[in-house]
Amino acid sequence: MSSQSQGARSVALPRAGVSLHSQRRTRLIARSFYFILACLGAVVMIIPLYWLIVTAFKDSGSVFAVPPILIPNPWLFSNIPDALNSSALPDTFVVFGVTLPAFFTYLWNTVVVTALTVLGDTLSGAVIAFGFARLRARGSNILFGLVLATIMLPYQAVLYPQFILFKTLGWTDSWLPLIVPTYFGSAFNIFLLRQFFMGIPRELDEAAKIDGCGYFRIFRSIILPLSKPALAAVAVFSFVFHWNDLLGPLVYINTSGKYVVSLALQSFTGGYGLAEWNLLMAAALVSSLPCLILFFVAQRYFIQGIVVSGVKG
Amino acid sequence: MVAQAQAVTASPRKRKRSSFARAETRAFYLFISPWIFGFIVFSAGPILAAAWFSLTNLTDIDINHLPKFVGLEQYKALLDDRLFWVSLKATAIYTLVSVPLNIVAALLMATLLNQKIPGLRLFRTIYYMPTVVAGVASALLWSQLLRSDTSGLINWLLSQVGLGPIDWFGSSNWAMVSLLMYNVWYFGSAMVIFLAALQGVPTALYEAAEIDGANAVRRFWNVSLPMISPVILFNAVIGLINSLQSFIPPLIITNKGGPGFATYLYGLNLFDRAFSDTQQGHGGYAAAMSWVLFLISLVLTVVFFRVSRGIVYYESGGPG
Repeated sequence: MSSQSQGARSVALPRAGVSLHSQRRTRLIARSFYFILACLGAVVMIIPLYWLIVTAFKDSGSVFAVPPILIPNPWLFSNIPDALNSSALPDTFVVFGVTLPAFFTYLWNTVVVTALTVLGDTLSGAVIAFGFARLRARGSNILFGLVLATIMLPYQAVLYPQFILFKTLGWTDSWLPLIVPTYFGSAFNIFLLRQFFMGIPRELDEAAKIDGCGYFRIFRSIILPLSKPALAAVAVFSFVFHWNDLLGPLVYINTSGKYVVSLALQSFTGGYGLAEWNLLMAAALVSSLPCLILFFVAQRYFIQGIVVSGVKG
Repeated sequence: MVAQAQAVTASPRKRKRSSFARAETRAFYLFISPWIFGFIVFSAGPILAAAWFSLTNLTDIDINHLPKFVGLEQYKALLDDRLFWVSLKATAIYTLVSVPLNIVAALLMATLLNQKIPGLRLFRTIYYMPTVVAGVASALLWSQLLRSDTSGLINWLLSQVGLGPIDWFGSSNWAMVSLLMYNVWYFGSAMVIFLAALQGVPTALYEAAEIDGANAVRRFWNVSLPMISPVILFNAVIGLINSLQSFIPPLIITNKGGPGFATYLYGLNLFDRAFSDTQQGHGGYAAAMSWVLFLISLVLTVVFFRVSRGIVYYESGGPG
């Protein structure tokens, strides 16, 4: 799509009284100007992340230096283990008799919760989206309208009544309230996957039907294998959302041994002490690393996901 | 589910169409049944429950003692609560500025990147990157960047050009500005959507406009904007819902909505009423706040769609 539009627009149309040469030069100047603007914007976007990294490796004295120290000298890589093993963290993590840095408790908890929520979001999203994309039934349009409407339902509006529900079930101070709802579909994922499924030619379904496939076989053997990019998009969005979520854990989890990283970072900020911003940034860096790595590895799916959800809607 | 599918295939081909249709209907409801359950238990149920709770004096959850019906008393208390209005006002200001600010920034940057400049993919990556670290870590980072003396990076940069230092968290207005700055750092996700939409605009339209003598600005106003208007509406609605629920930034960056209650956004207020230790026993009140938030987002979304009717251009001739 983009190469087509680029090819077409680079053909300069000569206007009366302007030579082709000077017009081409104007375009070049304009494009250089745009490029420089884009670079400036990129620098502004990157500075905070740069600051996260350099602060994480400074010694505690130089965090408050004026003027700010742009490059740590020396790079204190020991900040990372120090932050992860800070005495401010109340929990220890023991695997096979080996005691690992305390922060690993929260990292491990987050991995478990996030893995189960990603599975729930992707699985339920795919099953439900298949129904909406492929099966005709009376009332399906109205129901899909309801799905879209729940995208606009603020989570905070249902947070308190949901809390009462989970408390009545005795699920508070556990991960269940964070995990279980993802197995019943979220509107955004259903919408995204439905849009993608609709793009798969129906002839494939028809052919499979003639071969005697039922709907579940069509879903499993045709739609799912062809939808890997969209499923990956839902999975990466779900990962980033649940990895970073604070509100849910803050409401439901009380015991520090069950904390996820977002909650640990928020709760133990004070414990690091005011002078230890370097350690706090080191912990922050570690906690955001999985999302950053995932982003660079699976960037294609992020972009694809947003495009499908935003443009084709 | 497998049994269901086999039942469908087993039915003889020559039967009436309607039996196929009925089987398809059954399969449809089977596939979407998790959503129906989730919708009732996690969305519709809670909203209706909140409506009921908000009419009671619910204090703590105790199934043995049902709360008493108190009519509209919780709502009356809400209207008399100065903090409710303070948080509503802060949220209104925050939303009114942050939503348009992010849309404009995202739209301008997308247009810029759509001008055939080299390194498009790299730029897209960089602009989108902050979005994946949105959370406690990045909020802590920003509270560090905005430190009030010149050892904070932003204040040091400002002081170099004679504009600072600014006591970001010491004044109501600057505290709000710092939240807005943090928020605009995330314009990348909207930008990527705009960029994809712009690339989907047929080039023939631009060529025709150029032949008619339209300059770049005219082409943007009269071709790009109408063509991507549905996407602008989409981003505006999503931005609206997100900004009404903003929670982590006022909690961490401005330290629980400070100074005073200048950045005490609605989501934070609701959270405190419902869950904070010092405020136990305000269940009915928290439910009333939940219901008000629901109504506000409902009304605003309807207003957005109404206003956009006649402005937003749909290629297929109707909303698609």
